[in-house]
Amino acid sequence: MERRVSIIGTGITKHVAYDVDRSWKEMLAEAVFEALDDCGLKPTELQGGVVAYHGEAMLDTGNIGPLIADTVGMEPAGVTGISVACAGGAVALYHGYALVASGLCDAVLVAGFEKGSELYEYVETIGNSSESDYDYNFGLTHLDWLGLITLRYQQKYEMPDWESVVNWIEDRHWFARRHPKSFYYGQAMPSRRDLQRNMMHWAAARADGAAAVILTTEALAKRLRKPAVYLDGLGFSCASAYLPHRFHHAWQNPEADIADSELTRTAADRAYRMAGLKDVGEINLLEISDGSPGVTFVELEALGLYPRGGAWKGVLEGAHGLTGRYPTNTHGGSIAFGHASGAAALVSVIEAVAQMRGEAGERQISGPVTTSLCQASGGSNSNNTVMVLRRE
Amino acid sequence: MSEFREQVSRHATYSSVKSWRERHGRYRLVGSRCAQCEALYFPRRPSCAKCEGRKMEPYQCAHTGTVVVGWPQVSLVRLMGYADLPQRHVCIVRLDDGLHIETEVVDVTKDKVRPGLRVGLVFRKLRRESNGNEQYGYKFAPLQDSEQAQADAAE
Repeated sequence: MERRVSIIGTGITKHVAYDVDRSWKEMLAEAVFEALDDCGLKPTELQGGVVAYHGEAMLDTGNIGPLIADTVGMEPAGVTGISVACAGGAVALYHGYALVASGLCDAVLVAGFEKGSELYEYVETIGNSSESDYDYNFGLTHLDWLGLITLRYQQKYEMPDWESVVNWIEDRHWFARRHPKSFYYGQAMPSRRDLQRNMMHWAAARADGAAAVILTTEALAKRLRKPAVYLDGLGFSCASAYLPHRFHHAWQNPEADIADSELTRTAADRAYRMAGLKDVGEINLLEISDGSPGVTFVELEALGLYPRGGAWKGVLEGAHGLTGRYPTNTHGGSIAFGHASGAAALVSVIEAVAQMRGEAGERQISGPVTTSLCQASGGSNSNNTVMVLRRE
Repeated sequence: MSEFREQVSRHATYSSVKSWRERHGRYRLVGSRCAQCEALYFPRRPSCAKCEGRKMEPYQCAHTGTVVVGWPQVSLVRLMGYADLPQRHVCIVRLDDGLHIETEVVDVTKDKVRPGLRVGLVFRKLRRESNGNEQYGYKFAPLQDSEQAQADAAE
């Protein structure tokens, strides 16, 4: 019988443009040790691990599982390295969940990291995580996907201007300035005019960083010091990584469009059913991918919060700020917390845990946070996960 | 943009066989058609996502189409081998047979790149591969009036 799985420990490194002093192993170890200290377990109590990164070329190192088992002192536990673009942290969590739920392990490490600053050819190395013979080789990049999705959304749904986008970015920067580990912590808030004009604010802030969580069973979680947060619903969907295929599988669904996230709809349906979530309005906190604001709007709709083409209006009305109807990405999201590819989706989950435990400080949502929804997408919207977290 | 404006040998240098193998797709937009249900695909693939058939035939996609959405590429993140080109316009084009592709639209000014622009396939040099060989493939350019008429006649 499937066992209920709990997140019992979390850790994140400060996200920075270039962590010059430390190797990826040192960075990852900091996040893992913070997560272990958070729950009071020792490395040798971990029976397995799943760790996401962007791939061997990013580090000049492959076969990372054994290196991590050795670095954090959890050998001989088996650790698996996975490469799933920007959704990696969430997909690692999905597989870590399976290790505990199935009974194979009682305590598992799930982590993600990126150290892209070390690599001169960073853009080349992330660029080929797609249908590379027909996009990367033609000089087409991830930013092209984000730009095309955002523009298509704006044109299809006749967004009159970019004010909703700027609202989204401004809220995320407000939150990030209240998270000590964010990319922008301690820096002055950009002016509205800066946010409107500087396109660097319109996409994720690439960062070096690592994140880790410890998973265990409900029985063990109840013996530990902090309130248990449960992973009660999970969905994970994949489809072609060639962006135009979001259109031309139209014979499956005439509505298919890059300005929609069909895979998130599929993953959400599974996660909601698994968690018994009857109405998306039950959630207190939302954490979603925001590689660019246009992509965010698409995901908000796919999760069922808005009809198609309706999200930008909700954002414009302030529904996703601290006091809005759906507080969202209260750590600052990839746009302002910083985006370390393998870690980003896990950072979102860790923020949800912090909010559910009441540990989010100035960012804390008023009222109890008992149900959170975490969504992640990666690689031209080709890997999408949705998770429902609950606290008793 | 990479600091290396000219292609140099890097940690991952691939054989040109990898490009050569895709020559039909890259030069002539040859994809796949399912022998069983006739579903069309680009790029080519070994099985049908619609009927699960495993017999796929080469299919030459339409060489004309219409821009669905396009944007001017952000030059800060140009890939190696593409840094010296003028402003690049990256578009999703709906081909006249209903397939969609992501492609660069060339010989066009920014104000012309908009949904509805009619375009046709042109053959261009893409870049030098990291192994030093030149790589070629399709791009799209606005149809001239005569080509437009020809395309209309063919329909």
